[in-house]
Amino acid sequence: MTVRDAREQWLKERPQYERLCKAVEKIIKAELRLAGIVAIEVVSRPKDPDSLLRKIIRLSKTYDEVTDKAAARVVVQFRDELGPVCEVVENIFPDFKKDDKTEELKDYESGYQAIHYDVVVSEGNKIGGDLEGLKCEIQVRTLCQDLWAVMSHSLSYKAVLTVPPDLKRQINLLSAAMEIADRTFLGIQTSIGELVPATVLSAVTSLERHFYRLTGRQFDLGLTHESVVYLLELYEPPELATVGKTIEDFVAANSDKLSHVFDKYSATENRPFFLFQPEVILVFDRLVKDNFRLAEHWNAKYPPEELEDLAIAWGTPLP
Amino acid sequence: MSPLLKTMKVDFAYLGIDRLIIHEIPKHFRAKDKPKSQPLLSEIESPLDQDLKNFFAGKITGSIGSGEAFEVVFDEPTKSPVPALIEKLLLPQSNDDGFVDASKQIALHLHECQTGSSPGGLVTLVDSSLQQGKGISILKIEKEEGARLRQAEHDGRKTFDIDYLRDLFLTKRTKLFKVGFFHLTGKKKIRGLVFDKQTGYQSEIEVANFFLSTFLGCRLKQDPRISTKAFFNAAQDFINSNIDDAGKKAEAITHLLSELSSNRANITVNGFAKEYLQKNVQKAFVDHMKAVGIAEDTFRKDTELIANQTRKMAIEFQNEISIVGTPEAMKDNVELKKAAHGQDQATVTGKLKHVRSKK
Repeated sequence: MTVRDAREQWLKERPQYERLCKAVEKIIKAELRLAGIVAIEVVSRPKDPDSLLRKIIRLSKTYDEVTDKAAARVVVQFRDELGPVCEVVENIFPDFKKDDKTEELKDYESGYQAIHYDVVVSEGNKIGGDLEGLKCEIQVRTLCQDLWAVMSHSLSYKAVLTVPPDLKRQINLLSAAMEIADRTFLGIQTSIGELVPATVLSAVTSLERHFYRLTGRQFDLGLTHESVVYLLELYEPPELATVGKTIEDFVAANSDKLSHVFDKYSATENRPFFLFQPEVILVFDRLVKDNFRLAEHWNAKYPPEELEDLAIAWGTPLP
Repeated sequence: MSPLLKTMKVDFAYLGIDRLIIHEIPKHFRAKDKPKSQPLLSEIESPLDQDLKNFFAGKITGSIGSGEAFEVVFDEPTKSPVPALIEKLLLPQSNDDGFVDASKQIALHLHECQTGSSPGGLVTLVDSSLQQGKGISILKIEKEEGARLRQAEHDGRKTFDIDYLRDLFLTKRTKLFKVGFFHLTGKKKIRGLVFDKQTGYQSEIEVANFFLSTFLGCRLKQDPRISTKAFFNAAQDFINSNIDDAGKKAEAITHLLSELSSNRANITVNGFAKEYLQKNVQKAFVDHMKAVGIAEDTFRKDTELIANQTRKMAIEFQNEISIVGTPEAMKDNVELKKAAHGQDQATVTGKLKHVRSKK
């Protein structure tokens, strides 16, 4: 196939791959949300025609050997989130080939790190239709890895045939520094988690996961921590020890109602502020089980009208 | 199935407004020398965005879902056209349920049955969706006046202009005072709830009769005498079983008797708990009422069946000593406190009348 033929072929096929990209992006976002995983970014693109031709010419690939005609990328904050995201991708696309770029590096090397998947759309993917059989590349990486990938691409040092040793050393040091930053972010996150009492951590983790799954929204993390600590004062010691289970049970029993309430108010600006914070699940739990004490406790710290509006949203106005 | 569905109660979190229509009802002067007035009737429903839909849903929930609404049934016979219109709206015989026409008939009926002392206002018919089926609400709203600020500049100087608004009718902080809400139960029967809080010069009962009976053509489902007696017995049992401290127990019983003797027309379970009981037993009290079958949160008070039991109260000790008196006398003259060895001590202050034998 000549270069001209390849361009023509791609221009004909590109609309289909555009649809593939949108479908892959949509399903990854939906499944990540169901799993309660907050990704910084989920993006996709069909390959630019010039970029496809460059790959064919530079790397001597045939048209069919270019596997990233459609590509998606998932970027997360911390290294320990890569595993769960990979699990989601592998569950969506059972027909996959995985390439962990970190494993390609020797133990004394640093450089580009990410997890690449070449996936094939098959019958059970919930995508289906005329997209069946098409391939897509999915990259999974952390924010630090993504920064390195973007910057090193901009520097275009790979295009230079001979990189002077000193420059090579600088590049390697910078790559290592990015990996150190990546690992240190996770370390700090873990250490901070250990400073928080177990019951609070359990409650916050559970609330955040369920809230994201139900709403797909970002929230004020600092306020959540502060509010959860305050609201947990309403739980007696035996109940407090198993508050994580209390939250799980409440969400399980009221999943449909929670979804309904969130959907009802998502399209409007006129709504209680706390409605789109994860701790609202605790508020609803207390409205059902202990509304008198909740009202007194809440009013000592937060605007009473916020709780009144939340109670109305839940269908149980305060006495 | 949720507990609420089992009891056919409505979960107001699912209340969604589909459409509403508003008519203006002027004062109806009946004197011949006063000008005749006619309602200002709308021809179509008012446009609604999601903000307005949530606003009205919140207002209806805040009143009907508050625990202070009465369960009602259609009265028979009645001169009000409302029951028949509600039936037609909830059980339409054709695709056109006649929503607009029904609202006009309701508006004309309200205007006709109002006296000259009733203020003018608005009547709104609301069609809504529930978790299962639909609900129809009739809102009677009084217009309000208020002031609004607008930033302005005069002669290059900043100030606020003030607009006097004569056509307000609902603000975020005001409740709907008069609401009738009707929906179908699983058995295709119509269930009604009425919320009626009137602030006026007439007695609560009189005013309530106008809205409930004359306008809506309804009556209370439960006989107030039976509800009041059930509440009294259940409340007494709860207080005696759940409040250990003798002084607090006596105080709670005193409050119960005072509440039953008061001029208030209604009893609200949640309201009683909040006003009279200690915080650590408030929720348990409400749960106890539900557990013993007092399904309604609010009911009309009628002490006819318990009149003899509410005039006096008795404090009875295990050693067969009793102190009997009116709640007021008990409150002022009897002090109860804990004594040694788990005992309780009562101190009665007063001038001795006589000592005599008693069977």
